[in-house]
Amino acid sequence: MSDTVPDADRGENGRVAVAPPSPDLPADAVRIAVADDLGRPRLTVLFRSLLALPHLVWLGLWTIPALLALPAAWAGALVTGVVPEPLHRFLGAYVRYATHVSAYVLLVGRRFPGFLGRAGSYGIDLELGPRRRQSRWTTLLRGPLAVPAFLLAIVVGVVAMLVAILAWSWGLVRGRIPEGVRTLGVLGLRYTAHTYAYLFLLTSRYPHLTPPEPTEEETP
Amino acid sequence: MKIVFGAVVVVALAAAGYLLYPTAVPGDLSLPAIDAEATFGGELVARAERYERFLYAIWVLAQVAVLTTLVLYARRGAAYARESSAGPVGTGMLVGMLGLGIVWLVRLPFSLALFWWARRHDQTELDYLTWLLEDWLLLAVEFLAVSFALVVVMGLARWLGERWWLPGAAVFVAVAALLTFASPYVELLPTEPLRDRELLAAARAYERELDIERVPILVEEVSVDTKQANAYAYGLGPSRRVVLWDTMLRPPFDPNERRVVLAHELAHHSQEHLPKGIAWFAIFAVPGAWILMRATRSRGGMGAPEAVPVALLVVVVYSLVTAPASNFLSRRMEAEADWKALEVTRDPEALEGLMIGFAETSLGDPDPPAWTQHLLGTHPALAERAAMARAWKARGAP
Repeated sequence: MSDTVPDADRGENGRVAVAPPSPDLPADAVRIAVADDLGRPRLTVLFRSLLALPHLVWLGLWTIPALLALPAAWAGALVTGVVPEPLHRFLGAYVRYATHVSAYVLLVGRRFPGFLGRAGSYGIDLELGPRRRQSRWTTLLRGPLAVPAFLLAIVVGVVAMLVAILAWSWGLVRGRIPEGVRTLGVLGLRYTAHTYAYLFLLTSRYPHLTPPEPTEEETP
Repeated sequence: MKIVFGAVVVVALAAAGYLLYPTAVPGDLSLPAIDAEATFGGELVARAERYERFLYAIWVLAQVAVLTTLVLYARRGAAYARESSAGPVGTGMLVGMLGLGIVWLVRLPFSLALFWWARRHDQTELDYLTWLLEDWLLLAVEFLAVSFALVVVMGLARWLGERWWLPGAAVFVAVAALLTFASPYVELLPTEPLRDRELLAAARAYERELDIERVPILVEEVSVDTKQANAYAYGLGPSRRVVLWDTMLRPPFDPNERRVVLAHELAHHSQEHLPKGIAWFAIFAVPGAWILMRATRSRGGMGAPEAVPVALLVVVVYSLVTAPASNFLSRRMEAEADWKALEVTRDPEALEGLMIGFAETSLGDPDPPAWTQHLLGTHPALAERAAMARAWKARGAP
């Protein structure tokens, strides 16, 4: 399955509704780039949970090698101080894909995502900074250190679900979602993605809940 | 070269059909005319006719609505491709799922009417919410199935171009075989082994007579949801099973009638009806895939997401057009299972009584209109099956 953006994939204003990758992102940064509009065709809203099923199955299958790669990345980072490049790319694509799928399920994203987790392929995109050296101590203790962040991520997930139900009802009636609802969703997605990025050694910066920064590509 | 290849495929399919066609039912068997009212009772026949007439009317209306919807979707559905950021195959999946979703919405009022009618006639105990939830879950399975089918077909079409149809059909036949084999291991409803010792002893005797290995007999608990009675054979080789609904083990069915049901289902295994069903599926799937390839050519072929709405229409129309043939073949296999059941139970009265029981519990019309049998009848009509019991008796029991 290729993961390119088709020509038809343009926003209502004719602009390509995808965020370009940000190579200038500082190391260790985890950011959500929003390049999506707020329109949500009612049919895709009504069936959103079912439309996401192929992605959920694929994500489940992808999780198996991701979990197998994690100990290898951990061992590599422990020995050399950095996650090996191929593993960094693979785990980054996995976390990015999970973010795309979550955005779609939670109605934060408008369009059906691709299946490869490519940077810049989706309107709600996860931007990860380049890999960098990490402290061996925090690498060694990464699992236990991530526990509090995961507990908060569960709470954030519940809130995001409630917000998604609101977005679903609103989207079904109006054919679009309120910007504030989307912003809340993006905040939740960013925190969850940051938590996974931290666990998967893609960043050494601890997850934090701060409002998402607007990006230049954002469309009304 | 193409003509020669096509001729080889046609001859191979025809030869396969010729080999699969014969059954154990004597070719010279003529069924006696049955007075349905005298056999099943005038009041029951009238009730069943009234019940089924509504079902037929709704079915026809639903088909018209679905076909109209799919024609419109074939024209305009490709526009939904812009709602995808995925590649061609992923976009095709989205367009396919949305097509199914629209069809589900269009069918919903008809499904609701059928459910209301079934409740009104005590054919189901389900409440509306549970029914809707089950229908939604079924749609989820359909979404996954269509996604898988499109991954296979579009993947092959993008790789092989227009030559995808033969390997594509082969993949679907392989999947059908795999599902037939694996389905007994996926328990959707709770089952437990049959505990009735007399019935089990009868099953073992029938297995010997039918010359098959021991087949596990299971009982499925459905009585909380329905009063209808049913039984089925499924699985392949080591996964072969026979399942009786627990409603079969209750009145109005007596032990002799239960034995006939058991013999009928075991006969499906002894006559290899499940592998034959897969082979028949292959015979239909190969030309179906070729027609699909030709019909989607103007939209860029099956590798393009724009072709998916047309493909949905073609599949539904092809299923409708071939329904009389596939139902005819299904009825032949069911008739063969009845015949073998008569041979091992030697109890035509029980088979006739069983048909009366089915009419009572499921409100099946004993003698439905011919067109409904052509389009919907996977089993011979109840009156026809009772006639077969009498024909067997008339030939002289051994």
